[in-house]
Amino acid sequence: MTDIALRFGGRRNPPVAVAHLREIPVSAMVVLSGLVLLLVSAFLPWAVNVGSGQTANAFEPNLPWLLGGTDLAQQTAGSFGNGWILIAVVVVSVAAGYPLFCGRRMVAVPLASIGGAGAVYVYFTSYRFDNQFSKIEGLVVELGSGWWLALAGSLLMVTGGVIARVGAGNRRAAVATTGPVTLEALSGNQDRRDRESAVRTIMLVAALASILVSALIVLALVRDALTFMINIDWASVWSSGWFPRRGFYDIKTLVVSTGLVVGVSTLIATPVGLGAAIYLSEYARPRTRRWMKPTLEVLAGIPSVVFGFFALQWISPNIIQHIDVWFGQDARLGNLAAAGVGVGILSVPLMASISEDAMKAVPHSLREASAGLGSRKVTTTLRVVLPAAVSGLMAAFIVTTARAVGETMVVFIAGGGGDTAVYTHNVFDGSLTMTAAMASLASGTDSVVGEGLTFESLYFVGLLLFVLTLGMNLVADRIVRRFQNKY
Amino acid sequence: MRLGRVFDDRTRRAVTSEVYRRSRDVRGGVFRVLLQIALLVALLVLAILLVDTVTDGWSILSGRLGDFLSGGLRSQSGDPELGVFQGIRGSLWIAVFVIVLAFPLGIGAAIYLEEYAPKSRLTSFIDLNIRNLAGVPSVVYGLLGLAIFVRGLEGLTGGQSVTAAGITLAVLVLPIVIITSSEAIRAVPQSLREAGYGAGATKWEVIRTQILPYAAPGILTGTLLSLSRAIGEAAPLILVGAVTGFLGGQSGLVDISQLQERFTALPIIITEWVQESGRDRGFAPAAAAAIVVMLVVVLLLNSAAIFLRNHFEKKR
Repeated sequence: MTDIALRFGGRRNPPVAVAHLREIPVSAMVVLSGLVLLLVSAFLPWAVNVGSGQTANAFEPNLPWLLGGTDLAQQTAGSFGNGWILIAVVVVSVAAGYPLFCGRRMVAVPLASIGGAGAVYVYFTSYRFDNQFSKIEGLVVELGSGWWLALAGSLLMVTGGVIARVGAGNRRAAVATTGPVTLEALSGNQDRRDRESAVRTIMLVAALASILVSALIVLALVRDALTFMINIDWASVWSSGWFPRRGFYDIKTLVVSTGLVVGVSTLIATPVGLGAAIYLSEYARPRTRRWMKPTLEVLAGIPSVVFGFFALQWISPNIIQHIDVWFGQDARLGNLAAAGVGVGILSVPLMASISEDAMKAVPHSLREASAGLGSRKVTTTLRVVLPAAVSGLMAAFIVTTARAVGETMVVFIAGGGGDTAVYTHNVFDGSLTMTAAMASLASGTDSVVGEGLTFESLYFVGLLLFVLTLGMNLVADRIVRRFQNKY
Repeated sequence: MRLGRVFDDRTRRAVTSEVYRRSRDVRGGVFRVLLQIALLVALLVLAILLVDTVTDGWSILSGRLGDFLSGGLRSQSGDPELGVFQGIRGSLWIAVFVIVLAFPLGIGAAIYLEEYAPKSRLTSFIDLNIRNLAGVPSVVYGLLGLAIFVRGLEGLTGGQSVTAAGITLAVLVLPIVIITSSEAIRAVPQSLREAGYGAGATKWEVIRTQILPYAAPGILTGTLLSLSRAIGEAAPLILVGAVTGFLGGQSGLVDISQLQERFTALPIIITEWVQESGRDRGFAPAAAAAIVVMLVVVLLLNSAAIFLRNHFEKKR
């Protein structure tokens, strides 16, 4: 028998320092991390002070745990924020999390609690420095944030454990590989098994993070939107304009101008995007494709602020303000039509790439059968490929529309809306879409202020937008699933 | 006999002319031209956009590029110290947060979904959830950042700080990182995995030594694209509270202590200047110049990603 168990069992000779580290008992670890915590909390404020140059006289180490921190608080007040706590938590967690993946899971949970509690305590003391509050007040006020830190501490413990574990070799030597095959030899290496389950857990946590994000989005939106919906006088939600700071939250103003912008953008994005997709998928030679596709991808990569600038500075004066006379209108520089064209251009690559994928998924045998029956290329494309890909094209259309509904910066910059908007259904007027209304509510001042429910109205519009785009994306997703199964 | 030969000739002529005739497929030709026009419109717009932006900003780019890169936010467009330094600094920190938070989390999630996940209801839920997250408008992520990272976790992030903004944008690009990394991992041939298991490697050992190296170019492409997306994104930053007016403190590029301070970013500066250009025309060239600065970074990242992908696709 060869040493298969050793081959994949990690480094054959772990660095001596690491090998010794692993022999340190857990209790010593706890003491060590406590010491580290103490040292960090003592010296970090001083180090930060030296950097900021604010309190050059505070050269002596500050030992808040031992001295109570009362007089030193004067010297360090306001000079260090809460950032250093994070660093403390990291250090503690890495040190304390070390034994976690050395097969000593029974000590992991208590250690995580210690790390978390340490984080809370550090947080609480630093808060006192910052705000000169008494112990009790500080604790009461900031316990909420402290628990967040405790959570972060436990998470970081896991990270620390991984870092430690990856660097370490195997605690137990691989089973002797000469002699008879024993049950022990077949059961493999305990360290490898531990590592497997640990890695798996970590990956699962990473995957679950996305669910946490969704949950937080819904939570954030629903909480304040509910406040809005409960307390609002619904007459003001169906009035004649969007004047959030004066208590008029007319949703139909926002929805109608969103519809106008999306309409214009669809008029641009659908023909151009679909045409480009058909050409690339059915007509273009491989060499043409090779440089056309990256060019479209460059267009896709341009940030939306740039399209906002372009819509306001080029599209509006050079196109919209020329064609407005055809409709008997006189457009200002910022108007919904220009924003719509900007959003349309921005959506072209998205439309093109999803449609092209849909057409690429149509099997070649269909095209060959059609050609074999004597149809021309145009007939094959229009009568065979497009109908076969129709569900994918529908999905492309819906996704593009959802993207246009959610597009913010182009409309915010070029839509011609200020902080407020009067109801309009004229595409050459300036107005606010849902997204632009949110952006203008949040910009300008340091925080969203205004009459009564102004702040909550932000979340109400956000929730509306979220539900709308989510619905569209779910429908598109359903369609795509169906069409994937078809071929 | 004679009649038959005449008939033969006619048939032959008719068939020959049909076969050798240059087809006059008018409908097909028109359709083809229409398609080409569609594609040309897209390319033309791209060209106009680039040319227009560069010519608008040329006076600044050619005249005082150095000052522009090191200057700050000012209220007058004629101010010689007007520049984008604070924006570059903010965008840089945001990129750091995206790299530190979104990349490991996203790649980890992709590994779980492609390699570990059993076919269960939870898995398909996570999958659906990620695809939906990718479609959530960026401004809604801004609301998430405002509610959770700015207000909820104020003690940790310092309120309307670059930390809150960085976390928000990391969360924003997370689904993109997951989806692109998943695709890259899915493209790894099954035989590689089987060979690894056959040699006695555990799952994680196969992932680390076989799958990740093979999928690395694909994963890198996705991460580069998401990084450029994060750098160009403005809407969430407005909600998180990026500074648009004046921002004090001209500290260095990598000064840790400013992580909890107010901040601004390149796309925010552009937005601000474009809007200010209505009041003070001088801001329009400044905005164009700032766009060129941002586009250089974003397009470099994008073309690196596209090049990487094409290069490795060809190789395999």
